[in-house]
Amino acid sequence: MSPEEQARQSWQSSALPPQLPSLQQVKRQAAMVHRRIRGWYSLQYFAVAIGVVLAVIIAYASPSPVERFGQIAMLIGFLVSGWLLQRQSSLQPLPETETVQSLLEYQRRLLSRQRAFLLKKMMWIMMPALPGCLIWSGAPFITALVAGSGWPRLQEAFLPIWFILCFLVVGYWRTRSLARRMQRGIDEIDRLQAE
Amino acid sequence: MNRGPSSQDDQYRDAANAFGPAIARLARGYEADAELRRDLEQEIHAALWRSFAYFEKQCSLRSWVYRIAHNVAVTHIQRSRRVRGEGLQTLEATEELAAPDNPEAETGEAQLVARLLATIHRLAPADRQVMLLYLEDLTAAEIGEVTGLSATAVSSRIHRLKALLAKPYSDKEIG
Repeated sequence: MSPEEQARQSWQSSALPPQLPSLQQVKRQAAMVHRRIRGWYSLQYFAVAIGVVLAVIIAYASPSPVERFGQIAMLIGFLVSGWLLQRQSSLQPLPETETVQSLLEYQRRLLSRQRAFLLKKMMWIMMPALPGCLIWSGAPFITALVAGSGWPRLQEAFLPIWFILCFLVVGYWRTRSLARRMQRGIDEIDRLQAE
Repeated sequence: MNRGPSSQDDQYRDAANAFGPAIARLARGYEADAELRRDLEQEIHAALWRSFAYFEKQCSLRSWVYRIAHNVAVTHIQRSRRVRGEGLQTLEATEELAAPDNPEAETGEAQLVARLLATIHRLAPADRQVMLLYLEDLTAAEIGEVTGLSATAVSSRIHRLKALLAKPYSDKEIG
């Protein structure tokens, strides 16, 4: 085989560097992450709205002034949570220069910001509703103490406490699991970029 | 004539399947930086897809794909040359295959490809085109069709190229 034939053959059979996914795939993926995070925020807003409506109904229907006060505090807490959520949820638009690299960078920024939010701020966003929730759960005891009557039955007091516990445990578990999922997305992007 | 989008998509898909690896090698010949190479490859694919809107089979599909790819790649290196201020040389001025960036890491065939790449990256656009097309097994006539060079110009460059590729072997024999 002549040298030039050998060179041609070596050139044509030379290993190519590993390929990134196609632009279309990355675009689809970036748009999906964008949509998913937006959907997740919508769900949070919806939960806040439900909280507000329930707090208003319970406050209106409750015969006890302490319970009513607790519900109003919860209502204010939910509104503060909604405001905190709104401050966080401003999503960057998709980049104008659509190359695989710029879209991957964008996706990574989105996921990192969201992960940091979930791990560091999400529990704080849930906290404003907590004081009202505690007052609400303590209302039967406070009422009994003020009126000088006997302690309420435990199951009456347990309902709000269970509500608070579920609220915190589910919130904590959900934020952690979402943060882990986002970390997996970040790891995948890092792996692609390293190639 | 503007073709329907599905016909354009189908033509692009067929071309990308048939010439995808060649386009990747070509991008590697034009751009050493991995990130910029990916961008270049995408630019070529995008241009190729657009080109099928007006492809009238005035030449073979192979020549068409290479023509589009080389036009995009030449624009790319002209742009990066302005930015990076790289000095390029002609095939005539190239005495022997350049040493690769990391010769210790390369062995046998890989070293030959690394030397080829190092040489290609130093060449001026017109010579680079001929070199890459020659390595992809295009005939002199096809190279002329893609590059717009005359048959004589292509033949003289190929002659020089063959000598350049044969030099390491002849040196070995003398040594």
